[in-house]
Parts: sequence; structure tokens; C-alpha cells
Amino acid sequence: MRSTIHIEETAEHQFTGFVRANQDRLRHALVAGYGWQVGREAAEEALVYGWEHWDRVRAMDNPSGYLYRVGARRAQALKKQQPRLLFPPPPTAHNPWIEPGLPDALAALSPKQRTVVVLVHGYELSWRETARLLGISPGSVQRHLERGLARLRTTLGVADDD
Amino acid sequence: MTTDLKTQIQAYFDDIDPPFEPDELMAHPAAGRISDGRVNRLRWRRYPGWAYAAATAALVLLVVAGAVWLTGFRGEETPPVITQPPAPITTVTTYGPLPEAVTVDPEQIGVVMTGDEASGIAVAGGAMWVSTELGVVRWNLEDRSGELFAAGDGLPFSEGESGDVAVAPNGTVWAYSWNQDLAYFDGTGWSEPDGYDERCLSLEACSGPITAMAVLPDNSLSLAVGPEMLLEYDGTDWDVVTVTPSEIHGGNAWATDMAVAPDGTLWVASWEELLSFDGEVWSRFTAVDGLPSGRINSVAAAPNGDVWVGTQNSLRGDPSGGVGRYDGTSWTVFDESSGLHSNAVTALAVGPDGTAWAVHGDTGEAGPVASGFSRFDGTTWEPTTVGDVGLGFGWGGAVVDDTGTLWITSRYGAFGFDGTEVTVLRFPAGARSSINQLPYPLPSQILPNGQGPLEWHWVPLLTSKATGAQLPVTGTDCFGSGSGQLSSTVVEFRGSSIDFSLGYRSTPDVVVTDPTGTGFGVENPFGEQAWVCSVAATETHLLAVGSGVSWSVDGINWHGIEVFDDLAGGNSDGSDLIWAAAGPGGYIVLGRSGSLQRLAWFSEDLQIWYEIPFEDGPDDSEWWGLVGPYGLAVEDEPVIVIYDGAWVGTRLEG
Repeated sequence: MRSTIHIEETAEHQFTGFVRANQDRLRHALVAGYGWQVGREAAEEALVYGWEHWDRVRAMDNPSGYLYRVGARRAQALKKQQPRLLFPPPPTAHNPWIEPGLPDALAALSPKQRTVVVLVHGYELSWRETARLLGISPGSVQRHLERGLARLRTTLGVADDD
Repeated sequence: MTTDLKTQIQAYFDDIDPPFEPDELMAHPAAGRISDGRVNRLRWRRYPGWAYAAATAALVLLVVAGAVWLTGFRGEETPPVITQPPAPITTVTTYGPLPEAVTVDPEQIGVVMTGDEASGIAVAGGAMWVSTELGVVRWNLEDRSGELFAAGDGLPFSEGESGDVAVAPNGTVWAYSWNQDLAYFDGTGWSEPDGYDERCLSLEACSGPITAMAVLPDNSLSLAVGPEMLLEYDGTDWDVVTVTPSEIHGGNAWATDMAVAPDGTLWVASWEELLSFDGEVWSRFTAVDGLPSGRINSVAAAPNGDVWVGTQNSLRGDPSGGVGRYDGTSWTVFDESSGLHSNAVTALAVGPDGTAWAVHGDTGEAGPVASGFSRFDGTTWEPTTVGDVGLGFGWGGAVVDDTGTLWITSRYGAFGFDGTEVTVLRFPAGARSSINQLPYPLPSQILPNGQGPLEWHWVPLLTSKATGAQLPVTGTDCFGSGSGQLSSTVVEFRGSSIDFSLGYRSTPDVVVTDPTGTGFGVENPFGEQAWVCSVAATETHLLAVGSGVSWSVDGINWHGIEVFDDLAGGNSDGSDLIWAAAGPGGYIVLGRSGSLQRLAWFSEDLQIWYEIPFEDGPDDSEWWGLVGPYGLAVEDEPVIVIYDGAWVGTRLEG
């Protein structure tokens, strides 16, 4: 005799799965676009908002895209409220070989250069993924990336990697 | 060992950006207090069935009545939708700047209008000083006249945006910009203090922006620079006071406000804690020490030596916010249970008689928090809501003048409240006046789509260091940065029979009022579906754009015009048309959806429009936004382009 067991997935399970699958992209986009402090806070609040309205959010065609917009609006509000730390000092205990001036050098890039550098080299997105995320062409990604890395190398006084 | 740069970047972000734990998100202390950031959202509530039936019937009646009125009585028709390029146009009317919108006009006092963003504010000697987007405004409180000291025109700032102002006991006025510029006004003109740049740069003290400023009783200046450093200037020498992260706040919090007590003690507020410095010893106060919250927006010192702080709820589990008063020994907390209008206090000021004022602005969090004031008379708090006057305080400074009037700054100008009436000051409209500064002949002819010398020219124009990203771009992304907060556009509209003014508020509506302020009301032609992203006006019509559809108003009715089929619906917010400007002989509209951008021209009477070709220009993915009515800024390129019938590129040297 065969029996079928129905397992009802709880909202907690669904949300946990959603967060694990989607939070990187959401967080990375916000941190890359708005800086570490504002971006993380906005991403966190967007996800909390998503949980608070999970019944509605999970029914959307693109819930992560919606939560990105929630986070982006929040990030804009945070940026208006107070100047924030764009990028923190590197935690020297973990990787002491990271240039101490890297956060400031990143902060000195143009917004688009910084966003592209962070997405491609900080979060390992492909050029195509980055282009799609930012709504620009891969050629623009390449251009911003090259200019951004060149400025970083000049600022930090490091040689080309290649 | 040296590690290549790309590996360093990757390792750095691995370190600083760990993932969130779902369990912690679900148990987050802020749960239930976060909105999705959209304003004016329609919130459905459960009503009895008969209520829905009645509402539906009323809606049907309204629609029928509206249709009858539109077609029967008015005899007006919606302008035709033209999707093909129109016939050649040879007559052009040029509309110049709108001076009413870019001057401080005493006649506008008391008229509810929106102005450009203001931040810092100070009062001394019968004058009020306000930091605005274009520079510093001096406002004479007695005769109600104003003067703007703009960047490059008396104010030695590289960019216009002034962050804050402070007045020294000797009358010297200090102002800084968000771009680290610093200047003082000695009664005759503005100057840069000696040694500021050198001291800043040599010690890398100015690695971050100036975020707060105070003047001590001996007229020396104290600047909060970055998260953990003060710069002090006594008129001759600069000193750097480093407050190490371990002693203070982990290095992540920036000073939000500074105040000086009558005994000379310096108080520094941040979103982590409150610090005091008596000249020798730093002390710190947190929520554990009795503060209403660690998230301190404002600090003020009373004439009797009491120190007041205005705080708000913290998303990190701190207490819920409110006002704190320190008498030198202990803290007294005031919150909604004490009579405060709200626990969210965005600014705070103490008057010459010791009366404390708390300002409750829109914190952008946790749903709607009505703007208002609370006044403390020494015993109780008297809350006041100011009604629908378009304040939307946002974040700014507060000060009390000698008459006891509270003045605050916000995204929409400066507002005075004497306990009974609200006075509104609107300031010069920022980048909207930039077109006046372009040494470029205004359009003399408009050519049809695809015909004529549609070329890009790269012509030296200015010895400006401006780049595309630094230009005073006026276009705003309705979906992103500007959502619901497009406050700064103010245009004067003079119709054939009715004069009225238009402007944005914190809501997405278009405010339509006549010059007397009585107004036609507040409307959003897009309803609840989308925000109004931009408005522009000529002598006969208004154009409002937002959700893939432009709406024009002729003083009576709104008319919808569909444009850009390939952009419509590309965004769930529907914010496809993001910018409209009164251009040569009509309007220019910028639409955006994802990577696509489009420009269109509308005739003045809005009966015809066509898309502006750009094949030979910069890639549309590089368009940054419009600069004034005629210019297009290009991202990361020192170039703007001017539309005068053809696109003409203009390179800014430097």
C-alpha cells in the first residue's frame, strides 16, 4: 500500500530559502551602489520588510527585484539623512596584506566606476551580469572597470596585476 | 608578499560584507517598523460589504459625471497621439529662465511653495543664515529681504551645496560645503581661512566630509571631520583632535550635530552616542547612561547650561527615542507619554528664554510619522501638528530667533513657526538656473526628426572641472533617487486666464495653486499607480510625466498622452518618464526603463511630438540626466550636449 505524505512548507522555510538564494545579489547591488554602511543597512531592512510582508512579496513575479527597490529607496533616504562611511577600514586581523588605503581609494572613484569594480572584483559578477544589473552595456562595464582599476592602482601605488 | 589588487578587493569584500542570517532577519527588532519607501500608498482596510458597494456606486457616478462634463460641457478632446515624426517646424518661441523661481521674493512669505533644499541654519544680530543647495542665504528677519551668496559668486566654494552655517560671538559667520569647502563672512565678504587646505591635506584630516560645526565662546572654530576627528581653528593655527575609535564609537558613526554650552563645553552628537569635551577630558553618554536612544540627531545647549538632545528610535534595538535633558548630573527623558508629538525628533532647538522645541520630521521609516513640533514650556510639552502645508520636514537644522519663532530647514526650504502661523521661505532653485550660465546661443530653429544637421560637436566651452557626474544635473530618476521627493522644481505658470504656480511636495502630487495661495488643490493625475516624476510649464500648458504617460493641464483638465511604447511597462513602478523640461518651443521629455533611454520633443500646445534621434551622439546608456531645459549630461564624460534643433556637444575643459 502506498501512502503519500504531504509536507507543507512553512513561511519560515520559504523565507529562509529565499534569503539564502537571493540575498547575495540584493546585498551586493546595494553595497556596490550605496556603499557598505548604507547598502548593508538598506539590504537588511529590505529583507526584514520582505519577511513582514512575505505573503504579498512571495506572490510577486520578481520578489528580489521588488525588495531591491525597497532597499534602494531606503538607501536614498539614508544617504540624505547623514553622511555615512562608504567603506570601512579592512579588518587587518584577517587579511593584513590588504592595502589600508583601499577603502578610501574605492570611495574616491566615480559612482559608476566604484559600482562596477565592487561588483566585478568584490563580488565576482561577470561583466554580462554586471551590465544587466546596472542596465548598461558590457562595453560600458569594461570601460568603467578599466578606468576604475587604473585609478585605484595610481592612488594606491600598486603595479598592474597582469 | 604582495597580493594583486583584484584579489585584495575580493578579500576585502569577503571580510566586510558577510551574509545575513534568515533567523535574525525574521526576529529583527525593526520588524513592523519598516515601510517599502513609497509614499502615499493606498492602504486597504477591511470594511463591511455595503461600504464597498457604496464606494463602487459613487465611483461609477463620478466617472459618468466626469465624462459628461468633459465631452458635453467642455467640448474638449484629449490631444491626438502621434507616433510618426511631425511636419517640419520652422517657428520657435524661446522660453527663458523663470526668474520668479530663482529669487528670494519677500512677497512669497506666507505662500506655501516649495524651494530647494536647505540644511543648516543660524540666527544672530537680526539676520538668519541658511545653507542651501546654491550657497548661503542671509535673510533679514526684520524687513524680510534676502541675499544669496552663491558658489563662485562671492562664496569661495567649489560647489554650491552648503552644509551648515554657524555664527561666532564676534559676528563672524562660518559655512562649510559637503565638498569640504570652508569659508567665513566678516561682514563685507567671504574668505577662506588660512592654512585650512594645507592642514587638511597634509594630515589627511579631511578624508571624510565635514558633518558638523560649532564656534566656541573664544570665537575658535571646531569642525567634525570624518567619523573620529575634530579640526580646531583659533584664527591662526589649526589643531587636529583625534578621537580614537576604541574610545568612542567604533569608527563608524559620524557627528550629526555639535553644540557649545555656556561654560564652553563642546558637545558632539552621533548616531552612536553623545560626547562632551571640557577642554581636557572627553566624556561619553549612551542609552545605557540614560539617553533616550543612541541615535542622536540633534544637540542643543540651553542658556542655563542644560543640554538637550533630540533622538529617534534606533533599528538596533535601542530605546524608542524622544528628547533627553541633561542637567549636569542626570538625564531626564521625554517621549510621547510626556506629551511629545512623536518620539522621532529630527531637530531640536532651545530659545533665548530656555523654551525647548522638538521638530518631528519625516524619518522615512516605519510608516507615516506626521510632521509637527513640540514646545516645552518648562513643565509640559505642547504638541502641534502643522497640517497640510507641504512641509515634509525631512532632515535639517533648527534655531529659535530673538522673538521666539522657531525656524527649521528642510528639503523644501526654511519654515518659521511662532506657535500660531507657519512662514515659508523658498530659496533659489538650485540647478534649474544653470541654463542661465551657459554662454551658448539659445535655439533659433527646430528641425524635424531625421533631417538637418543632426551632428555632435565637441566644442570647448568652459574652463570648468565639471564632469558628467559633477554637473548640476536636474534630471531625476523617478524610480530611484527621486522617488516621491522631487521637491525642488518650482515653475510659475501663467495661463491665458488664470495664473497659478506649481511645485512638488513630499507627496508625489502636483500642487496647483494660484498666486494668492488659495489654490486649485493637489492632484496626482497618475492616481495611486505611480509618482509624478517631473513637471514643466510654458505659457499655456503644464506637462507632468511619470508612468509612461504624460499628462498635460490647461488650467482646467488633465489630458493623457502616451509616448515611448518600448519603454512602457518596463518597470513595475511604472516610472518610465522621469524628466520633463520646458524647452525650445515646447518640452523635452526624458524616458528611461532599464538600459533604454529616450528623448522626445513636444510642441508647446502638446498636439504633436516626436522622438529626438541620437544615433550619432553618446550611447543612451551613458546619459546621466538633463541639465536645465536644454542640456544633457553624459556620464563620466566632461561633456554636455545642448539641444537647439540639433544636438550640439560641448566639452568642458579642465
